[in-house]
Amino acid sequence: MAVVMASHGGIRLAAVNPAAATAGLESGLTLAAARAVVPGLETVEADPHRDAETLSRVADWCGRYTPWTAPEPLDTAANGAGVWLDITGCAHLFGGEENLLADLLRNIKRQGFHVRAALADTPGAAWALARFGQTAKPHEPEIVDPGSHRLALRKLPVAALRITAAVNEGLDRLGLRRIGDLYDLPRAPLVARFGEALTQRLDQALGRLAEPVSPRSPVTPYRVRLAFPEAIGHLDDVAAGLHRLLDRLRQRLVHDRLGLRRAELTLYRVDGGVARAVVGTSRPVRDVAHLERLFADRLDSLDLGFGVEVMTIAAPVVEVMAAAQANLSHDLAKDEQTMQLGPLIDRLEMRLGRGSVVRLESRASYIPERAGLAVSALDNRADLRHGEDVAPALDHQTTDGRIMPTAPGGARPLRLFPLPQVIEAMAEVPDGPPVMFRWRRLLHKVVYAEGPERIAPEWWRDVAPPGEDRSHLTRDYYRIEDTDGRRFWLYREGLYDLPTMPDAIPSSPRAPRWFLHGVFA
Amino acid sequence: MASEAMAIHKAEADRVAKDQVLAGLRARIEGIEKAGKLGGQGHQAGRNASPLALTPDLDAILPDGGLTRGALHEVVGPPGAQGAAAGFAAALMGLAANNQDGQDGQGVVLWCRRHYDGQENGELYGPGLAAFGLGPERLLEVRAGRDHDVLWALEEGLQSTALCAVLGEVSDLSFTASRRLQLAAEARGVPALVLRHDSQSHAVSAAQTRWRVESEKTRWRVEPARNGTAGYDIRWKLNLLRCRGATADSQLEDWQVEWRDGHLHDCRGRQDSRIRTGNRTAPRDFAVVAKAGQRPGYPTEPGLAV
Repeated sequence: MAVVMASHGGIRLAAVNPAAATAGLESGLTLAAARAVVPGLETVEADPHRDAETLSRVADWCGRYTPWTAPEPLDTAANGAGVWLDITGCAHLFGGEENLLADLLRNIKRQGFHVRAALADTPGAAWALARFGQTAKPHEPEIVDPGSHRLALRKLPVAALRITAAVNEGLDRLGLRRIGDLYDLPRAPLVARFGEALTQRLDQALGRLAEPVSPRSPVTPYRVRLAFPEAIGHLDDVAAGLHRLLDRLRQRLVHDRLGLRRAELTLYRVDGGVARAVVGTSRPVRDVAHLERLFADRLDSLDLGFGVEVMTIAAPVVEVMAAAQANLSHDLAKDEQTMQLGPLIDRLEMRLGRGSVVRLESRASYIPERAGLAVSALDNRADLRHGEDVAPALDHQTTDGRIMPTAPGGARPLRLFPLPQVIEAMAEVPDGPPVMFRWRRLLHKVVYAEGPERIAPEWWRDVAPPGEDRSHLTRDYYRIEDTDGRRFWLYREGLYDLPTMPDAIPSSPRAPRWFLHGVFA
Repeated sequence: MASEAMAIHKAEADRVAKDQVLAGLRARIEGIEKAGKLGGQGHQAGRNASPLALTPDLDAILPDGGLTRGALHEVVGPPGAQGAAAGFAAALMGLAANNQDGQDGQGVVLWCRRHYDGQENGELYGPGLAAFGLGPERLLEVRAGRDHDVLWALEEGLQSTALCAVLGEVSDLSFTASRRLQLAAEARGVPALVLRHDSQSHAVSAAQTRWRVESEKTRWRVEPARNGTAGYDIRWKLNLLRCRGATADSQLEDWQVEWRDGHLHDCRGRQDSRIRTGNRTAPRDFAVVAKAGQRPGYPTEPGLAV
């Protein structure tokens, strides 16, 4: 059987299974040539996207061994895909490197993958040995003792250095077939002939050049792990495990005087799947009970599959959190109340979705829709009660120089329409207040009108292109009361008496229109 | 002699001690009875919180001498944008936030609504709410998806010790839901308000009070402080449709109140507690209409009402 893929102007084999390989087929062959060799060849269309997805999934699954995992992209020229694992400092958790590797291979083979694994001091050496190593038994992992990778690489073909086919061919022509052949050669001619890539790869494989594994997901030092002897399939057990993990995480956070802003729970399932739950908090938290409550809503939606073997909790976002200081002042009750607000916001956001809890901030602006702004309650880490960063309420300066707050009782409506409602209004004089208006099919007769309050566009904010006249955006606001005592905020957009300048560019002569913008209490 | 005096003294002391024991036992029985009736341990908190003072006349009618804090109160208004009902509810919330029981400080209140209410009836507007004592640091708005989530958020808010009042705008409130809210409010001693359309003013609910609020004619006045421009006091017409524990003669019809200087006030000039309306010929104060085109804040000539 072979996987085929359209490339290089024809259908070629992308991968072959062992039976096809023994029949003499190899990847890169055209399908026609392959059919000539093996007439009954079964073919499957290649699907690189799903291959990449599977690989990412495997890399995720390997997160149970180490947080540093990264998928090696599938690239036919580079001899197949793989997953990097940096197990520095993790092996002892599994009883040594051999045991870790054996456990990994046993588990991953159970999922139906054919794998080869190698463990070496450098990523380059591990890559080479995994693909070109020749152990006594074909599917045994190759483990290179620390410091001996130079020896282990000596016998391998140069292709094991992750070089392009062209470089490989060039080396072959020079009779340099083994990596060992390159060890003692002068570097300058090699660079001159094959470019930097060859010596770089050689140095990386031998550990003369650092090659960090870039992890798939960001790695946090605050990560705790719990492995179960038997796979567990009950949510109660997961919740119990969660409690233990959170408690361990809390101890570490307390020690470092930190609180977490986000926590990720990862469940590694028996079938190789991974289930995740993420919770965010409005302020640094390390309270186990609070985090448990946040996770409680999420646990129900997790798919446990046939059981969970390993679970981890990571805190990718942490912030400094001072130890709670028992305060002796009379503000104690007040402080406690403020502290309770964070958990409440967290719970509401968790259930109702992000951005569902907002605060209505005031901004210094004359434009009504700019003056009041809804901000997510999570955005501001500052204490809700002391909003120092909130712009002060806009003040009005009267002609005699006194400062008055803009909004005495009822100067601004209680409710403001995000999109001003178009109304039909009739006014006695063109630029006077309306006498009646129709809104949502209802006719309102105006009893009182107060205004206008003229609000022009903020020229310092939206810089108009030169020559454009913005006077048609000027609004005249009226506070209106109808016969039933209902109070509305109407405005007329545009002016009737536009100044006619001799050299004025014909601006849009839009007729003024009436809008209903808000409803008073 | 001395021994006789001693004996009298001892008898007196015994009597006092006995009284104390009895009083203690009575209080215990009372406590047990209350707890048994409501099945909630936090009940004491709800009952002991002092009621919220509204206006002298309203307080006289309400059974607790004010709006009971640990209870559910419904505010209904005519359909539409519900400016008046929302305003009265905002006033109650503002009073609750700024007169927190037992603490000199001020509290945070929660206002829950569905997010499409904003498109339909207008978003809550911070500068307008600030006039009711609900500044940005006092108010949290929750935008939920449906009634069910609004009610959930209300209950969640009532369980938290961080809030001093909650309000929900819902289109429908079942009796069960209202009972749950009432119990939760009672347990925490914090008012829960529900804002509904008045099409449901006869719906069954476990709320302690139900107010119907309509706009009343505004009393316009010149504000010398604002250079002669017009200001007004917000006025509402209240109907107390139901009130648990109220006596028969404490009904309230078409009662006028106004919101002035951060407090509710009874409207002056009324004769008795039952003001009949329809008096559209109410004394017409005057409004000031500035000439169009004049900048706001500039001295204006008093004009005539339209």
